[in-house]
Formats: sequence, structure tokens, C-alpha cells
Amino acid sequence: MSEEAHDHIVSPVAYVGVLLALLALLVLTVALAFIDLDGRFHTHYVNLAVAILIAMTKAFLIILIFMHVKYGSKLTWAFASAAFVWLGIMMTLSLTDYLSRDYREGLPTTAPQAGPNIIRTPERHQSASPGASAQPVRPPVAGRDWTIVVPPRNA
Amino acid sequence: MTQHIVIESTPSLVQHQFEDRHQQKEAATLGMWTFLATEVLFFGGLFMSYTVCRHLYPEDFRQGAMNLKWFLGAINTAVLLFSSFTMAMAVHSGAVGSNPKIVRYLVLTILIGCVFLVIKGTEYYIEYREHLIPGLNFSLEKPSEDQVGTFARAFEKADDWFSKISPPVNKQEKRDYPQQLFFLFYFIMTMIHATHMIIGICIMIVLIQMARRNTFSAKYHNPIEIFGLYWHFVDIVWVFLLPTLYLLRSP
Repeated sequence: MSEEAHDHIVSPVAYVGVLLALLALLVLTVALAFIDLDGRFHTHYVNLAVAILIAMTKAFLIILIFMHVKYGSKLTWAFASAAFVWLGIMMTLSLTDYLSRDYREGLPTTAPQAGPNIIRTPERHQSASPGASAQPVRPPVAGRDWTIVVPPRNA
Repeated sequence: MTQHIVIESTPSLVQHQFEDRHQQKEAATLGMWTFLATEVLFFGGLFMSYTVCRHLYPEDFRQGAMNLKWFLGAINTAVLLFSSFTMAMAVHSGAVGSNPKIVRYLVLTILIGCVFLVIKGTEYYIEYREHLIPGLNFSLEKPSEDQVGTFARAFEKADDWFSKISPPVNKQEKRDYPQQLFFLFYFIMTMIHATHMIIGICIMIVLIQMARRNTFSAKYHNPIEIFGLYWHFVDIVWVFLLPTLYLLRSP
């Protein structure tokens, strides 16, 4: 590699440009948080996914220009990418499991074994443990005959 | 009569195991990126568990996030982006070999970093007064105005004012137990991030001392360069914390 390529000096103009772009993306991501995209698509993920995409764009700008990876050697590219590739593998493989199961309400759909905090729905207004007036955490899911109750703190 | 021969010697900028300064710089950069890769996976584990829990309890996470002051988070992001810029300028000053400029930009970076930490501390204080810290004082009932106090109440009013422009959908008045899960992620992630910033500020103080002794030149400024990588990485972590913690408003 030539002497010049090693001593690449990024002009401050480029840094100002990146800073302005980052601030513009910040305004954009905050503005989008106030628009109810999730409601429009009937899911929980659109708003967050769009916000994460903007965050990734910001991260790319910072990594390429501020962190000089754009001007770095191929080896630097490889090292910088490796971290995110492995993170991507971890995220993808873990989510294939979670996204393909019905974990609505945070629990498997088969009724769990009876325990002090789990009661059958018809009894849900009675106390879970004697003497304590437990309330269900949330309304039971349609088609499910059990729910979880959380005993009051001082019970 | 003994003759004293003084040999003029300047300490070599290139350590003996390297061919030349370019190889030395390359090795330093790769070493830093290797460390940053471990940091990516360290924070990545937290983001992974965040993703799973948010998938399991989307509504509770949203209700929890609604208690945060999103505008303080947004201001803090802008503050941190500015500090990244001044850090990039410090690295630039290193590349052109100006020690006084390095000192100036590093001092500026420390000051902006401190502004970030002060805003973050203010947020923690507000959350303490609003009884939102799991394990310490999280309560299902919202505390009364007296308990919250005028200072924290002012930020709540500002939040209400923003909510008039774009009212959040289905905002619950009552808190729910699983919201504590969100606050655990919030406190652990932001505290680890703040710890990284405090460590960074300590390192910058050392770098400023080095620059004041004219250690750096256009040919040798590796410490500034690789510290810049660390500081920018901490900035990137916050860039991802903003949407995951503060901007969960729509259902």
C-alpha cells in the first residue's frame, strides 16, 4: 500500500457532513416514533424495526467515517464486520425459535402445572393463597381456562 | 582525563517488534477492533435478551417506556453525537500533528460527555422520585405529586405537553408488574453504557496529559486514534439504546 493511503487524513468537512446527517436521522427517528405504524399494520414490530434500521444507518456512518473503516485495510474491514456478523447469527438463530412459537402473553399455550400462582379461570377472583386477595395480572386469553395471579406484595 | 561522549538519542516511535510505523498502526487498530468485537457481543447479549422479552411482553415494554422522558433521551443522543464529532476532530488534530488542538478537542469531548452524564443522572433522579426503580422502590401506584416533588413533576408536565401534540394510544394510568422487566433492562443497559463513558473520560484525562507533553505527532498518534474508536463505539451503543428504550410509543 502506498505511503499516502496509510496516512489518509479525512477532511473536517466530511466530519461536519456526517454530524449533520446523524442529527437529521435523529430527528427522523424521533418523528417516526410518534406515527402509529404498528396500528396500521396490526403488529408490534414495524415502529421498532424502522427505528432500528435508522439506528443501523447511523452506526454505519459512524463506523465508516468517524472510525475510519472506509479508509482502513481489508483486514480492518474483516475484523470490524466479524463482530456484527456473529451478533447477527446469534440474533437470527435465537429468534427463529421465539418467533415461530406461540408465546403470546409470555407463556406457552399448554396449561402449566398447578402452582400457588396459577389458578383456573372460574376461580380467578378468589384468593390464590388463603388470606390474600390476589388479582389476575391481566384478563385471560380467549380459549384458555387458566391465568396467572400475582399475590399482593405484603401477603 | 575522561571524555564524556553524549550520544543524542530520541526514543524510537516504532517499537522493536514492528517493521515500520504503518504496521504498528495497523496492529493497534486491529487490536482495538478485536476488543470492540468482544464489546459488541457483550452488549449484544443484553440486546438479545431485550429482543426476546420485548417479543414476549410488547405491551408492558411500551407502557414502561412511556414512563421515560423521551425528549431527555433524544437530547442526550444529540449531545453524544456532538461528542463523537469533537472526538473525530481530536483524531484529525492528531493526524495533522497539533498537540494543542488535541488538548482543546479532548477537553471539549470530556465536557460534552459530562453534560450527557448529568442529563442521565437527572433522569435517574426523576425515575427515583416517580418510584420506577425495580428492587428499590417500584410501586404499582403512581406516587402522589408531593412524593414526586416539583423538580421531577416539571419534566412530567413537559411530557404531558408533548402528549397533547401526539397522544399515545392506550396509555394506562395504572402500572403493571411485568413493567419492572423493562426497567431492569433500562437501568442495566444505561448504567453499563454510562460506566463505559466514565472509563472513557478517565482515559481522555491521561491522553490530555500526554498531549500536553507533546507526545503526539503526525507520525505517531496511535493512542488518540484507537481511543477514538472506543469513544465512537460507546456512541453507537447509545444510538441503539434510544429506539429500544425511549421510542416505544405506538402499540
